[in-house]
Amino acid sequence: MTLLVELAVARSGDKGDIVNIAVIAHDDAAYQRVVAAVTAARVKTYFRDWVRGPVERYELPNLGAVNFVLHGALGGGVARTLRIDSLGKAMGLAVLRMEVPQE
Amino acid sequence: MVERGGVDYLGYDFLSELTMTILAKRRARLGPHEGYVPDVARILAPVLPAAGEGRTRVVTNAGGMYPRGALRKVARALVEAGFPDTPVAEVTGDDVLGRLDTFVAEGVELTDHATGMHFREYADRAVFAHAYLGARPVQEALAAGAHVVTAGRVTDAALFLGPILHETGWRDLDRLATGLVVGHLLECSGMVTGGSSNFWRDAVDPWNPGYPVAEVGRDGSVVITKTPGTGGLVSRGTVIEQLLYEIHDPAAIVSPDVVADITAAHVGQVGRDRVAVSGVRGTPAPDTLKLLIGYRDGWTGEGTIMFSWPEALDKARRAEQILRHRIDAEALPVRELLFEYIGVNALHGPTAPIPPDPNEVMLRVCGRFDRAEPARALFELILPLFSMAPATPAGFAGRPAVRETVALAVTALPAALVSPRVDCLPAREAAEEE
Repeated sequence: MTLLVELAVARSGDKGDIVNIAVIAHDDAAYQRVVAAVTAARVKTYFRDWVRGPVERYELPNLGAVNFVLHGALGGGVARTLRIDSLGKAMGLAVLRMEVPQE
Repeated sequence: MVERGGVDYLGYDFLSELTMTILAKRRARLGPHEGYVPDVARILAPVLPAAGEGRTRVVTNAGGMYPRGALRKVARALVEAGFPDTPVAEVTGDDVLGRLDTFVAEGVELTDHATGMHFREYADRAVFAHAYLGARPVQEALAAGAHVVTAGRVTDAALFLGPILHETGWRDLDRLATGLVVGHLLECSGMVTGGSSNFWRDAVDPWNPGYPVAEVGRDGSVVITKTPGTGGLVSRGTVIEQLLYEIHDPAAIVSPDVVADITAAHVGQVGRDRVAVSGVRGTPAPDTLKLLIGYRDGWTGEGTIMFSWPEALDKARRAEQILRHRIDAEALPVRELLFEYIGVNALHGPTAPIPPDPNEVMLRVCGRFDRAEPARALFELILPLFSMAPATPAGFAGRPAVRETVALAVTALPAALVSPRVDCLPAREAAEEE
């Protein structure tokens, strides 16, 4: 197993109670592995009760990136959440610890 | 940027969802003539001579909930700097708080997209309601000759798309979408020039980062770069990071002016700290505007306490246990309670691996209450822990952190119901208003 951090970087951002996580692969080969391994369902399961709504995934082969949209992911949104990371800034980096199968 | 970058326009984005709640609280505390960014004149002071001379025009949404207040402050600073004749403009029309009841009566569905809650459920607690205006009123203000534009809630990107439209007159949807993407890339300032970046090791002189500059050609060409002689980094990586920041469906990035599609966009390094962006496509904007409504929703109280090795994590867990018992014993009316272990899982929640024996752990408790008093009482329950919890609690935080929650609802409003207004006048006249 490889950790996703070896294949990609990530940046997350908030809009209301929605967090998006852009996973940006280091190169084309890494992008293919990310697309194959990191599904919306896996991301949803990964965050357990931190993500209460559905997760959508958008592929961007032109940018070598995959964008995940996590609904109900911030404990009510920046103004309302009790979390110290009220903007979900670190959630993208959390994804980088996911395991990806070897080539 | 003004002296070395030679920029024609400077955009200053001050507003986020959170900023709106902060400005709303300020207005509630200080009165209806507040609600703009109070430091606006101090922040703009260094560029006002250039704006006065017309070398660089300044566009900002620092007007927040009271653009006139920001306009007067900036106008007075311009007069003091010796530029009484400089035209300044405000953009308003975004504030619809006073019209929401009428909208509801006329059958507009004001339902929060996230929670499904209807405006009626919190109408008596609403403290602000702003429709997100686009770039057209900014363009109009510039066309009227304004050297400084203070707007209310125009979109972040409109601060940049407005000047682009003023210069180019673009109507083609792909061009409009390209301009929107330029605005999106610039609106978070240093976040595209090596700040908040995974590529931070490649950013040079990070204590002196350059703010981003977009070179936009009439042919739709775009290069993102930064001021010469500054630190930071503009690379394909930093631009893609920001391109996807706070984006949902990349084929439908919605704005009041155009819907952008970046699924065929090309981002390529064309020189040192120079990245070209092309291939952005556009489709027509929806006939609705995003509407953000803030309403009072109780209070939060929080506090922290730290524990040291050995067994720091177990000690912090014991402190949580003690606090939960004390909250029950005191019958604190808490609606929601969260314990975080800073150093362990505060940032990554359930995905965080638990370290075997961390050197130190900070326990943070945060609770939601209907009223301020119990929120304060939660903090006060932490104080006795310093003589009740395992060896040895440390890091006493002396001030209670209690704050009112202004929750946010997001919904849509028919654009036809919103009329942006532009008022352009010489700085002297704006400065003389009471």
